[in-house]
Amino acid sequence: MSNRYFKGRALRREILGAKVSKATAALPQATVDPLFNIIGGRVILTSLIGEATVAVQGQTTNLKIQANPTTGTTVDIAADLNATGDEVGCLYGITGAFASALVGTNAGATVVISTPVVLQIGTIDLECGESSTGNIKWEATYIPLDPDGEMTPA
Amino acid sequence: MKGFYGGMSRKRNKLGLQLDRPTATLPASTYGALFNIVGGRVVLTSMIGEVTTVIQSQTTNIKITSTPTTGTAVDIATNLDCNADAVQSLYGIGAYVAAMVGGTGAANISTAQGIVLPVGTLGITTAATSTGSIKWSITYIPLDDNAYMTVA
Repeated sequence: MSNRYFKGRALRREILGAKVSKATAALPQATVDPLFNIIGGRVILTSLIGEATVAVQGQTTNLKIQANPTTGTTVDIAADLNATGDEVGCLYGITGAFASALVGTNAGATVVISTPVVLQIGTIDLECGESSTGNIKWEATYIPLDPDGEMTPA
Repeated sequence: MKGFYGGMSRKRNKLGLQLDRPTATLPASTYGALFNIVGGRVVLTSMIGEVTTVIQSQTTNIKITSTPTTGTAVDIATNLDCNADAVQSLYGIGAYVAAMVGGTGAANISTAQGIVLPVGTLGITTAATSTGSIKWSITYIPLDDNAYMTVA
């Protein structure tokens, strides 16, 4: 473990909060899959980043991100992005503006949240509008809003 | 010096680590790497250019590109014509994948949105061969534990 490792991790934690990672998984098949659980209390989402590990099939593949509270109504926190044919390494991110689409072009870059999003106890979900091949791994950073608020991979 | 250190600490707590690159002449109608991203992904929190030698008086489009080691590049800021921009003109990134902002007398100089960059290089592309020099500074947060940036 290098000094740089600890410095980078500490700095990230200081600014973006805790980081949680979910192993790569195939896209939901015209359905919704939970990515992360929010447990113990509310959290502030500071980034949500996806990275394609298997290229997305070359057909219309609409992806969006939802906050799905245990009690209450689901909210789209990023609107549909057509990920057709996205390459391995393609990065995905959300801006935090609920009406804005998921951002993903290719491996070169993506955005992190500029407007942090408060999430209620429940899950963050990925909805895929079609049945397409392709795998994405997801990571999130967050700050607990309530003292026991925490995120875990779903 | 208390204020100095307080300011440095505040900047670090908001924007992360700073990296400064010595001034250099413009790439001649090509891509020129400014910074390397090593060891993992980073979040770019600001990128600021300052003209140190006036830009030649001709159309000089400059854009900022993230070039991953594996995969396809993305222009994180599209072309801005820097024709004859004076010494001390400032440049920055406005909205993601919108035109680079700044120019003579400009003061709007910050990345409005944090940008995730993969392992590779961050650089500028000029569409013309023009004289002129710019020095660049960035701030970033390591997203992956071993990630860091260096001057290219």
